[in-house]
Amino acid sequence: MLWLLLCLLPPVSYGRIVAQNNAHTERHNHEATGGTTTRPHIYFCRSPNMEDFTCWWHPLSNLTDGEEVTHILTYSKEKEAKLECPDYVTGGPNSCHFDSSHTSIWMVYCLTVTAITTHRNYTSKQHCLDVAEIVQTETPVNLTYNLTDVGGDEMGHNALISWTYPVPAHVQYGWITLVYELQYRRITEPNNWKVKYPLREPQVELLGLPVDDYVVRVRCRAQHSKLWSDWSATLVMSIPPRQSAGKLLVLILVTGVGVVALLVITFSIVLQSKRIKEYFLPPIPKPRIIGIDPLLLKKGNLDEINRHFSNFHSYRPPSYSEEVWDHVSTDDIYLTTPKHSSDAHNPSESERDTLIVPCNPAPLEVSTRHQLTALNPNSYMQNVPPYCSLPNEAFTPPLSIPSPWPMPEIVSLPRTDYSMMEHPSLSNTIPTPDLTFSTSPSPQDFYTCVQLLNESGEVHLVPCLPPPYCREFPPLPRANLDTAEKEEKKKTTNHQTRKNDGGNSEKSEAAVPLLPVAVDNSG
Amino acid sequence: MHILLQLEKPIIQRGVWGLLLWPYILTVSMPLDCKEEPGSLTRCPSISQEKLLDRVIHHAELIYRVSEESCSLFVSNSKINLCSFTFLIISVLQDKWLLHSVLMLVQSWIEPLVYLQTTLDHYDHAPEMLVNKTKWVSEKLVSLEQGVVALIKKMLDEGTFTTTYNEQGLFQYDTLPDMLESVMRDYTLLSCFKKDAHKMETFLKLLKCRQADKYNCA
Repeated sequence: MLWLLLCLLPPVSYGRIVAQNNAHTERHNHEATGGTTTRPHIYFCRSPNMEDFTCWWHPLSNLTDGEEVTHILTYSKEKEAKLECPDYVTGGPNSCHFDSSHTSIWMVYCLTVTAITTHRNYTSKQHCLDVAEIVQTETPVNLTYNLTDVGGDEMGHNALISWTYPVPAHVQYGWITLVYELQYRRITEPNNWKVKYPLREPQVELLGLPVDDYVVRVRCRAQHSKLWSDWSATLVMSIPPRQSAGKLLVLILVTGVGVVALLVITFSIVLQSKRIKEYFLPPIPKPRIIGIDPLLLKKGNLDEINRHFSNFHSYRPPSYSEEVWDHVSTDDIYLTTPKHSSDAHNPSESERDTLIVPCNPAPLEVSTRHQLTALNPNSYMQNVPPYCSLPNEAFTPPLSIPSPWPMPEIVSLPRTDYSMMEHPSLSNTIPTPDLTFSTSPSPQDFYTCVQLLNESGEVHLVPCLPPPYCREFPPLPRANLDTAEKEEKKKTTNHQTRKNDGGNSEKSEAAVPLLPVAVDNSG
Repeated sequence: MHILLQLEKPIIQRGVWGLLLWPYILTVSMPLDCKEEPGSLTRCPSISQEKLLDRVIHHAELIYRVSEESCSLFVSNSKINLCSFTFLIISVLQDKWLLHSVLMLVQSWIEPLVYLQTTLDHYDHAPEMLVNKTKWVSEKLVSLEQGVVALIKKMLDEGTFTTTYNEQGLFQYDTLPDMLESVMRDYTLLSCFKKDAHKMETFLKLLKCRQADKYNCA
């Protein structure tokens, strides 16, 4: 039973509160219904600005014909004396208006209306009020709307709705602070009101309204009061359906960019069609033998060449030292004839001794000593067992042997280390190489030839091949010395490649230096 | 659990009834319209103290703000701080003194403001905004006085002593002094009034704070 009461009481009390709140709204509509007629009844009082107020009452309606009735409103402020209404006119019929001098917000007013007829007086119920509590502000006016974004988007348009309060004096200086409420709905949905509350400013922006027609209304109230003003005149707002220019622009831009890109790609494909074809369908390469690229030789890439040739048997990359080449002229060259061996023994000679390299098959003794070391006694010779150079002792035997042809002489320049081997000018006919030399038996048919002569006096000697090769030494007549020298000069001044060529060709012939070429190589 | 419930049943019952009846209590204690019982003022007493105090503070705030704006409308050439006719309150310890000092301040300023209003009307080129504001402040000051009186009556249960609106006034309006001098005097008056209005507002807010929490107000 307890729980039953518990459930029942709150709704009942709530209902009572609601009834009280609705009483005010009922009062305003009471005029039409008529209400109680036995005695007058004050049904509605309001103050628009808390500085004055007006009260309305229902007059006595239970009248017999011809009866006159007057109504008198009396009021008292709390415990003061009763006073009569100061103004019956301003508020209309059956009203009493209290102006600012008669209005006080500090006291409760209690009003009574008395209907005086000839027979009797009818007194209404006392109506007490607090002026601040009956403040009902004026209705907002001038409700307008502006569509803010012209372009619009998928969501719709934005609308800025604004209105004004009709009497600004009420709200000046902050005497009354207003709170607004806005409601809007689609025309097609009569009861689906959307509410915007609370609003402090007399304007609001509605975002993302879909295309349609809307009905908008607004009302306000004083912040401290519970009474709302009447609804404003409704505003019909239509959101226009419009092709958004922004969308069109975007579409145009995108298509334009796409077309341009397509054109560019097409042109590039057309121009580069060959390359593309090669990329996708590479051509089959022609047959080629792997070898030295002639371009390498042209460019003089010695390392590459050395690498290539190192595959060959017994290839040693030539070592090129930096030597200073002097220009050779005929005046500078001294041709010395082979001296006596005794002379050759003397290392104190300033001049370099010459070496005679006979190319006869007679075996020669191998000796480590050679006169070329006169300048630099410390220099030595590499381990080349056979020589073309001849020691002192060995000098004599060759001298004893008649050389079939003029012996090659080493021409040395006095001031430099340059020396060359050459045959003396042959006024006589050059005896043909006699193969008979080769017939004499010699177990060691080795001759050494000077390959390289360093500044330090170091001599690089290489073994000579048998006479057939020595015979191939081109005899250089003395008269041809200049030309030979010039040739050599030319050759030295030529590109390195030619030297390399000569070197290579020489090397390929089992390292037998041709005399002129050997000189070349010494550079 | 059930045993406990049995033992404390009376207390629980009362509590439950109290809970159930709270809406009734609210509706009864808050006279919404003061119209239930005809001819009986006990049912519809005067405005509550809290409401009165709120309204009085609201008045004081607005008066101070508007007087401040009025002061700014004057072209302040001189900063005269002589507020000779302001009321200096020494003791503000008690609510009674707060209220009385506020009342005295208000009452002391009613006449000077009326005078200010008339002088401004006499000017040829006084800004309209200033005239309107001064008028408004003067009116509200009278209203404030009534409010403070009502509050004193309610809080301190003392008798009423409203000022009699003296038509003649202490100031003589016959002689019109020099324009500049008059303007300066007006400005001084208004600035002094602004300071006193601020004082009033502060006192009233202090009073309100004390109503809520006696020991936590600065």
